[in-house]
Amino acid sequence: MENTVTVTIDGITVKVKPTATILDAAKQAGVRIPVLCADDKLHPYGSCRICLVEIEKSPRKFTPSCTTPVADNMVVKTMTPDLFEARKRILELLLCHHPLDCPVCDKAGNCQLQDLVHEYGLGPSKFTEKKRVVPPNYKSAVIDREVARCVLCGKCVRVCREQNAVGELAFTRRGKESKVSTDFDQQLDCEFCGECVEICPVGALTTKQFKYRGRTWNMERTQSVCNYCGCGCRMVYETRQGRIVRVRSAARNYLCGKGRFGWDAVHHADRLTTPLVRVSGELVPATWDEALAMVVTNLNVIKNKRGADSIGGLGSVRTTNEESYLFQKFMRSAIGTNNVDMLARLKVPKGLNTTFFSGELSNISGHDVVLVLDGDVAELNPLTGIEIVRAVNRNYKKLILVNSGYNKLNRIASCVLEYVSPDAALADLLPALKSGQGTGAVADAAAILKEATSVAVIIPARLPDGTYYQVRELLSLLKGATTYPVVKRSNFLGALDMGVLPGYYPGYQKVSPDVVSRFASAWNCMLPEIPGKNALEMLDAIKQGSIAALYIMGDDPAGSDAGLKPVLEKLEFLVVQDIFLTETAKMADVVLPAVSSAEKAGTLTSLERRLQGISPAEEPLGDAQPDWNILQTVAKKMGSAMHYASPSDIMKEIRALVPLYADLAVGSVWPAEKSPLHGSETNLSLLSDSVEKNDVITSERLLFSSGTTTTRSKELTTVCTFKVEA
Amino acid sequence: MLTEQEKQEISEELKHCERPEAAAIEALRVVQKKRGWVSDASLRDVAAQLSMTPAELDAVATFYSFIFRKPVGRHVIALCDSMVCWSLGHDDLYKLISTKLGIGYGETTGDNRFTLLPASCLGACDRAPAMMVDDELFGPVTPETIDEILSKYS
Repeated sequence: MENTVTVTIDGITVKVKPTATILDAAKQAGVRIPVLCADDKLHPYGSCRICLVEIEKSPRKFTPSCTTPVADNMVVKTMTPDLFEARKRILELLLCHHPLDCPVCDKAGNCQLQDLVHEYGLGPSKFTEKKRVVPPNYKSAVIDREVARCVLCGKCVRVCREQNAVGELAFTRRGKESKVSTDFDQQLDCEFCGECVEICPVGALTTKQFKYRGRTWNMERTQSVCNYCGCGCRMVYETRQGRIVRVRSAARNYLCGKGRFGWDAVHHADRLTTPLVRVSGELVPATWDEALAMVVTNLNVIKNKRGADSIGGLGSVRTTNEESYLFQKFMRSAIGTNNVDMLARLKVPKGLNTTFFSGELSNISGHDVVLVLDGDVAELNPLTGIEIVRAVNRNYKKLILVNSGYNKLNRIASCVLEYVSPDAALADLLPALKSGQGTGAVADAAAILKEATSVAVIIPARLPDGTYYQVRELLSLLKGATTYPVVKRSNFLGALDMGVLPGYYPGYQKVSPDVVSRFASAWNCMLPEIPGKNALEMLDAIKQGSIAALYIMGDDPAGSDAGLKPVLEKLEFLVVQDIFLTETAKMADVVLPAVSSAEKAGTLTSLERRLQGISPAEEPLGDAQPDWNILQTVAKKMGSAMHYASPSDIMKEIRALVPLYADLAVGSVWPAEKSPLHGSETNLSLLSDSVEKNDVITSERLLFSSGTTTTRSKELTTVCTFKVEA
Repeated sequence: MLTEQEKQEISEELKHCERPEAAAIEALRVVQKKRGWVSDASLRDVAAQLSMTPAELDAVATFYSFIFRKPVGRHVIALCDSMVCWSLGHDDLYKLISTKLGIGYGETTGDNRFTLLPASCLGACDRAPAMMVDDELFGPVTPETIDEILSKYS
């Protein structure tokens, strides 16, 4: 039986944990206490005093509810005439220096101070001194600081330090001169996540992107999911007259710089708006009919002349589950080959989804110790980084960090193992765990790990064979270990789940007579019975001439490895579906314009294996079409029966054919044990010494740059010159 | 750049602290002892050694009036302007010192001998009006004793 205390708030009696504050108890009782400086993301602070309440039999007249713990049989009143007057006075004092420039303030309509002043109905003030004049600071990239509007609640300072471990903002000076400052009031040099802007209760922090672009009450809002990395952060598109003007995190969620500011790539001038076909060596605009006729004719000719296996398909980690599903269905049924794969498999840890299934990120704080084997995790999967910081700063858990450089995690780590790579660190750590050998940091780390009853292990994005076995040994030595692999790309897991794999049908159902006949009868067609070539084998086959045509959906091999250009040049026919004219698209015979994730519906599967829905916030640009619709049109013209009115039709089919997704509700995670590959030795990653899958990056910080899309975000290019901390 | 000796002394302070931030004030004093004040460059270096960001350490440095974030003279006069000292003659004392040295609050004499700063309560209300010169406390300071006090510092 858990220990609880009984508290009565405005006549409502609730049982709460003894560690709860009065504010927590009030929330549980369904009673609203007004707040400014309190936030669920942060430790209680108690700077604004708006949340004052009266406690019966207390020697104090008023007590701040956000910082005061409950006591048994406490009786609290949250609204009395005296409290009303007290809060009114506090607001009056806050307004002493707050400029009333609400008509030009981006926060107006969504401002906690404005709402409270409205609620408490302030009239003329008896304080008549002049307002403090503090010039605004527009020096920073992305974020503007309207210093005069600041009410010194400290939320930005605290979120930057407690949640992000960045500490870019701090209160400097004292008393009436105190203000929120950056390092020596210079321009911001931080992660540019914009969490400070989001949490600011007034308009002291605003974004350049949104300035004078619209009023908050005129926005239409569309719930969606960020499509940059594998974390799958929920977000809200705010649109005005059909155009996105702002992206915000969904309540109590987090967004990094890419998620919050990187959406403007959707409006980049490089977007493809019409199909392109190669005529006399040049790509020229064409109609859909012309372009599709060229695709169908050429694919049919090559298929008839050289067989279906002379055609290959490379899928994408950016497209939705429905599109990935349709892509492999298209390759298997309309073309008739199992040559379907993704080059992104070069960039994921060995053992992903066979040995290492990710736990839910929000559970990282629940472990005694977090062991980070990849020092770059906070750059590659920012939300994982935030959860690690939360574990340390909010839940007082220990962090053991393997990192050769220095970044924000170093500042909060209990123990830092300075090794050039995880395998070097594990070479020393494993003996220390087994037999107590080792000195210094390794011995400290081993001692911490031995004491722990549960450990969160962050698995590096790159995991060669040797390290893979070391990590497996490590996991066998730890008590209660849960793995959290780093997955850089947004829908990598979804694409795997949907069978964009040469040897597996959707749901990791191995290409075998049983499975093939099941899918053949469901799809009402003939299907190839031998597994296809993986991405690397396909590239080799192109070199040797046995693959003559390639169908690429949403990937840019030539952009990520220039060495692949001569390989792709050997193709007789190349089709590329993309939203930009990438290096690969420039080489294509037909380029089909697709739409971005802001213009289509569907589902994504995050690295936690969580199924989440995206929704269109804008109409498709120009003649561009969603990938799923392009695929079904091509398939139909090639004689396949595909009739989907919307992505949800495709999802219905997926649910019928893929046991993992059969009753997987949107928002929930499919259980690891249900996967046919659970615990098997199958390797879903590819490893190659010759082919690179470099990110097309413009920044030294992977945090701001992950390739094709981020390089076309105006906001992200303004911050991409910022270096990794020295 | 911090000197080896400064780094050494800061490491010594760090040994007494569970969290490096806890050594912030002592580390700033190490630098100030040698250089008279804490420049942006030294603050940056100290912050790095304490695993803090410059902004976080500057928050500490600018909060405390005896950490100097601007260059000061060879000696610093801290004149108490709190309630008791104020009611027992702070204003006259300030005028006197200010006239004698030709400087106001926040200023340094041309020969770099003195910097004059206000201080909130020095904790010497029984000796009001009180002032400190460097580490030494004086009070009650009167027009008669002021010359003698100042003459001790060259």
